[in-house]
Amino acid sequence: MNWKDKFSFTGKITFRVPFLVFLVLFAGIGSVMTYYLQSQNSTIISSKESEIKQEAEIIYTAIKNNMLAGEAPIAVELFRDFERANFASMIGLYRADGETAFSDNNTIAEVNANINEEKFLPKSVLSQKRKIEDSVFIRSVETVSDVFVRNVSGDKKNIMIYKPLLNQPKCSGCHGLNHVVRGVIMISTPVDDVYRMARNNVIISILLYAIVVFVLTLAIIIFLRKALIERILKIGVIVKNVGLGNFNKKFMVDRDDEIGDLGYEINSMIDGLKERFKLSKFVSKSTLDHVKQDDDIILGGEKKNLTVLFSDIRNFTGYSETRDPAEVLEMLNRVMTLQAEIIQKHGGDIDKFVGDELMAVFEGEEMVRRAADAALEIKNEMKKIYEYEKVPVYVGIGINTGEMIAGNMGSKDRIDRTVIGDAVNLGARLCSIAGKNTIVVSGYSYDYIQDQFRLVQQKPVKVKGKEKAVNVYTLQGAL
Amino acid sequence: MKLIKILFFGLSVSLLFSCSPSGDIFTIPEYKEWKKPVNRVLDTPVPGHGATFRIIYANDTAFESEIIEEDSGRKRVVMNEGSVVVKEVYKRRADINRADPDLTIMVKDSKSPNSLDGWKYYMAMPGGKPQLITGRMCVGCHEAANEQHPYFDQNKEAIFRDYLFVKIASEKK
Repeated sequence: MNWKDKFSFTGKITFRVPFLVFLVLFAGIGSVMTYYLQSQNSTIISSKESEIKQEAEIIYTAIKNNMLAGEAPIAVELFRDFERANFASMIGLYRADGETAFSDNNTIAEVNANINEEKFLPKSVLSQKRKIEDSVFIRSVETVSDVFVRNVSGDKKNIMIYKPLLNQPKCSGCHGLNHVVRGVIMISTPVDDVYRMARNNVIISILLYAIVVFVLTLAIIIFLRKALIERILKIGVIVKNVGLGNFNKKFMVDRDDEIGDLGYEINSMIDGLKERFKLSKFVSKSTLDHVKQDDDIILGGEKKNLTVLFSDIRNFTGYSETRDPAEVLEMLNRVMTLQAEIIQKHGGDIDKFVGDELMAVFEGEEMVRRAADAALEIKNEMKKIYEYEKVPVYVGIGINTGEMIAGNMGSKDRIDRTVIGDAVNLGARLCSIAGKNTIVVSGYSYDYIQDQFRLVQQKPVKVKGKEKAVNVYTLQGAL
Repeated sequence: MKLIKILFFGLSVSLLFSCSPSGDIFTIPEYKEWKKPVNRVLDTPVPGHGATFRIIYANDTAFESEIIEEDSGRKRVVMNEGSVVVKEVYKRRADINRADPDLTIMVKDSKSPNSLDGWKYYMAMPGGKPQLITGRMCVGCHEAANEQHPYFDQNKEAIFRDYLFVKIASEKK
């Protein structure tokens, strides 16, 4: 099995429609959901960030206003208060060189030197001495700018804000003019809860998305199967049955919709086909072929070289006198069916049944040989079946070949397709003179098959319309 | 050929925009005829400017600004949009009116995304183009103007002075 065969199901509507539905829902709902999810999470995170920035601004202002007059203990206590109030997880104040503020008395010494007075006394160390040297801190000092850092890649997520404290005019009196940045306030706030909320949003949304897509896809597929696909498949099965000659299955029109209309039309078509199929049993094959070929059936015909075979039941009167009509008819039908099957097997066409007589036409290559074969088989079968009955049944067969008129005859409303002419009449005449289980062949047919069959010449027969008597032969068997 | 034209057009457009990354285009105004809020050379050393000599100019729009009184009775300076304040900064007194000074410029443009608390700050070296200052270098110091400070009238009432140490706006008539 090659890959084309393996994936042939993908070309079927039963796969393509559900797949398309799934694809549309998956892509459509997915893109809308992704957009809203992204937008919602971005709003959550950005609102949290702006909240943190606002808090940082408040803290910055509060710290800036509490830095007056070198009251370090007040500032340090303020940081701790803010931390306790959970404004931020950590607040740190660093000098411009990165060292922790209030970790020594150097600034007090500088101020006293600047103002030329021992105004401020050394204080006990308030903060642990350490130095911050990261690039963000350095950038904040060098550009004198607020720097906002999102540290959200690890397990511990936090947002850090570095805000430079400037050497404002009110500060420069004591701290001197040789620098712009006095220090940097670093505020770090954990944002794990915000990102957890965003992640939960994603998980819940994906779950909801999967459920919605699954349920909707299922619902639409079920609907499509019930309303469309299954009904179309049913119509397909019915049409297939019609193709196989079964006209008894019909579509059950259960809904008044387009498929229902289609089913109704299919049913009407089946009725028509059934009618025509039944009618076809009443006409010859050549008639059917003619109907298939011609759009317009018109009266008229053409001359053709054909072979006719007439077969008539001998002793029919004797048989029917001793049987009831049903039994007679039953025998007649059996014999006719047997003969018709044999003739059709040999490529002959049943032209008509007239009472206990059958007329068949052979056309085309080796038509005389096929007619002779058919006649011999009929004779043998009849012998086999009916010769030893209480009242035996026999057939007499006549075969003639010649030019005949084949065409449509009758009136414009009721037409028969048949063959007529002297050659046909001669065939019927030969049948009438044929004895029990005897096959009489004309001299015209003899010329075609004399090398293939054993034929015994009989006394010539005088036929109406012909001056000379016609040579006739009895067909004994194949050579 | 058509493709080359399109590429050339695209390159030209991108170069044009790359010259003003934030879309901010500012040219130094002809300020020399403007009025001076302080008719003397400022020589007090200040952080950010150091021991320099400074002369301040402001445009008419700035001088038309008013000091309003809020419902609480507290006064407040509201500088008009379009106010421009130019500060000439000389390193030596002898350079005044002889050498080209450094310039620091404040432009009131509250709606601009580049403004810091309503003002845009520029700095220009002699002969150079003005550079927009986006850090807190300028505003970080000028915010002290809105509280008591050691310069000029010292803002003893600690009113909101719209980030200007000098008094340019006048009382509402």
